[in-house]
Amino acid sequence: MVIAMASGDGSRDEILYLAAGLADLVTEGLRGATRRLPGLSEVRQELRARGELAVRRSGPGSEAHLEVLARHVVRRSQDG
Amino acid sequence: MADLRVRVDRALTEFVETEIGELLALDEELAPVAEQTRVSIAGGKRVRPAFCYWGWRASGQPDTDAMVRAAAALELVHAAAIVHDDIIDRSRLRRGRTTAHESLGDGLAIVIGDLLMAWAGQLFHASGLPRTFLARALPVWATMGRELVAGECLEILRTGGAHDLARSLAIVRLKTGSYTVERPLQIGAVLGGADPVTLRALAAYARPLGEAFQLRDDLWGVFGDPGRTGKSALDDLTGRKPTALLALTLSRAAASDCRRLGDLLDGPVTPADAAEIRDIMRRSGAPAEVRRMIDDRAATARAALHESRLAPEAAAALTRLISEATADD
Repeated sequence: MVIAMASGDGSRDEILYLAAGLADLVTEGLRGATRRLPGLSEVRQELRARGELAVRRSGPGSEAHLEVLARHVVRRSQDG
Repeated sequence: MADLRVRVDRALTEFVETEIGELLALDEELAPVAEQTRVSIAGGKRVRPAFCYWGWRASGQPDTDAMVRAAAALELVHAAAIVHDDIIDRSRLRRGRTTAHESLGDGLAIVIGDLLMAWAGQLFHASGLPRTFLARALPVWATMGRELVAGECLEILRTGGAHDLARSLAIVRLKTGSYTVERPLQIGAVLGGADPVTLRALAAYARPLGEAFQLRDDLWGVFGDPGRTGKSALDDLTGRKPTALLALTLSRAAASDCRRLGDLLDGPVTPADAAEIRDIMRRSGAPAEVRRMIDDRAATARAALHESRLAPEAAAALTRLISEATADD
């Protein structure tokens, strides 16, 4: 039975499962967004870990570059 | 390189002492178990973390303490494997210290091995690397575990059986080469998101080097100075391990030497027997042939690096690791 479904309606099942998965992800995402901080702190941790690597990857000059950018943003906000 | 070893040691100590604190908080009576875990991780050369770390750097990722922690987890896999390996081989000494089962008995040693393996997974996952990076490496981690167990099982299944060089090398590849060089390097590279070209270059380097590492281990197991290897020079012989060295000896020695070798390995091996076995091996030319096989594999690994386009710093470190894994001193 399972084999017959897999071989006969494989592609239809694939689309159905993908659509259901997407719907489930959206529902879960909405639920997740309304949850308390632990989820957010994990997201923050993940972003921080990736960010640290990204900054290090672009070499020692990058911090100065980021600082120039930051100063630029501050100056613009003061001008505005 | 020495600096990386110090950082790995520090990461291991920090992690293990925290875990020991948690363990002893459960019950103070666990103190001997805690002490034995310290002994089991002490004094290694930390080659597996080094391969893992440089796989990461070869992928273009920067130096970071989080990666040193993830790489240090490989040393816990090794510590777990040797605790169990020593039970199987009935080895009494490791790195010059009493083995876990010799100190605490088989039962506790088995669970100490399990504990170290569980710690390895935990240190890897709590290393501080992004979770999406860690998730990429999970399939390789699983492959490493499967190969390690398969190699150990095949060695047991083949112990005392017919000696065959090709089969011996296949066991070597699984049992030690895989979790010493190839998989640690691949785990580091996959963590770092290496491209397929880099992964292929690293594999071409790692496979021969892993074999060379184990062949040297076989040679040291019989001809090494126990004061330097920290292991008894009788263990490999007493265990009648299906090593390439033994297979080569049997294929090259004169018929009378082969018969004598069979008799000597049939019973418990005394130090005098071991000396005679070494003489037979030398007469057959097998140790020199194994040394040649090691050098050939080191040359293949070096050529693979030469043809690759790895970052100079990673290529230089991986070149140094060839000497560390294959040199005779």
